[in-house]
Amino acid sequence: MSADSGAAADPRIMEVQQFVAQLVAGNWSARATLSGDDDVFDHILSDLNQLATMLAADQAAHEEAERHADEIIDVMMGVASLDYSRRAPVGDDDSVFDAIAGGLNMLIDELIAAQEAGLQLQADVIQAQDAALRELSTPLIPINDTVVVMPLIGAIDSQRADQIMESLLTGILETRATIAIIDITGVSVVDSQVANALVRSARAVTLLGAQVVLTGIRPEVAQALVGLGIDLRNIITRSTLQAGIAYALHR
Amino acid sequence: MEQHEIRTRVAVVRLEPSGILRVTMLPGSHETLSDAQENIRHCSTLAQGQRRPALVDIREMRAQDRDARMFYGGPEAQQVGKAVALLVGGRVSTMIGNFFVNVAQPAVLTKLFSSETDAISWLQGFLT
Repeated sequence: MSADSGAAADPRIMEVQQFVAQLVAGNWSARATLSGDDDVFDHILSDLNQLATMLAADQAAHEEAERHADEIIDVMMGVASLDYSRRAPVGDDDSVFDAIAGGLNMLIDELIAAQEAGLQLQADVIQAQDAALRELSTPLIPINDTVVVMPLIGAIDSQRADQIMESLLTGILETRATIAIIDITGVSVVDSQVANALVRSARAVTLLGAQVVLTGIRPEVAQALVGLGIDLRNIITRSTLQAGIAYALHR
Repeated sequence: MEQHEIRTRVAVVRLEPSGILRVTMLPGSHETLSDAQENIRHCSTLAQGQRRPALVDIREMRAQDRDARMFYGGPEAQQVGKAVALLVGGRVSTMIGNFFVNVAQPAVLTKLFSSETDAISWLQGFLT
């Protein structure tokens, strides 16, 4: 009798062989049933059962690690597309993935804080620039002790009109000027809003005991002012800044 | 009777007979700003207004919000703590501890320890 035919004839050997084949195929949930004879086959199968349990636990741990890693990668991908709303789950195991997840979450928090600080800084800079620009857009230049000139350039909106009034009144109070020349040569459009703002400023200046001379009135502006029906009777007007200054100095 | 221990949502705050404040973060705790404010308030109560060395055990802690971290790094905590020994254990608490020390840059002298004995020994140098 050959060894092969002997082995094939032993059902216990076949059982061991089949169980090993299952484990090799990756079926780690399979378990062999022991005969209870406590023979060498039972010992082998018992050890193989333990091996299967270990392999199954390893597989479960591997799958859990992959799942955790995927969750972390998802959050990182979100951050890469500027989505800072998600956080990686931190488990109770104190695993390396928990630490990475915790660290990533804290980094996202810092990223958000840095972004907010950057935006705030940007807003502060814009506000400061805006204030500086507003101040520069309504300069008040003293010609002598009693005459100041405010040359206006560009467009005038309601905010700038308020700024003109404020700068003019503050400047007149500070310099004690008696004549304020407002030069609108550089004002691109004079509509009813601008004209009314100038008239209001002139009236306010009068209340301080000073007088406004409006200069730089181009023909089309004069035409527009007439067309708008703006009352300029109490305001002295001159066509050029030069003429306005000459008037103020010889008064 | 003087109170020596207060339990909050996330921690047990205690004044040890040695004069060291001990804050033990509860297992799995996630600390928010209001938790941090409550902890500091209780520390202040227990310390009776005195600045004391503090042992903060974060070994079982799971997470801490940035607001809480920045609060501990700020002036309110400085009025309570003279020096802080941060007791870390596993990976998560070590990560949290390092973030606190390096990112929040606390105003109070703060050091990380993995040994409680070493931490207490260091803090004893701040007892007056």
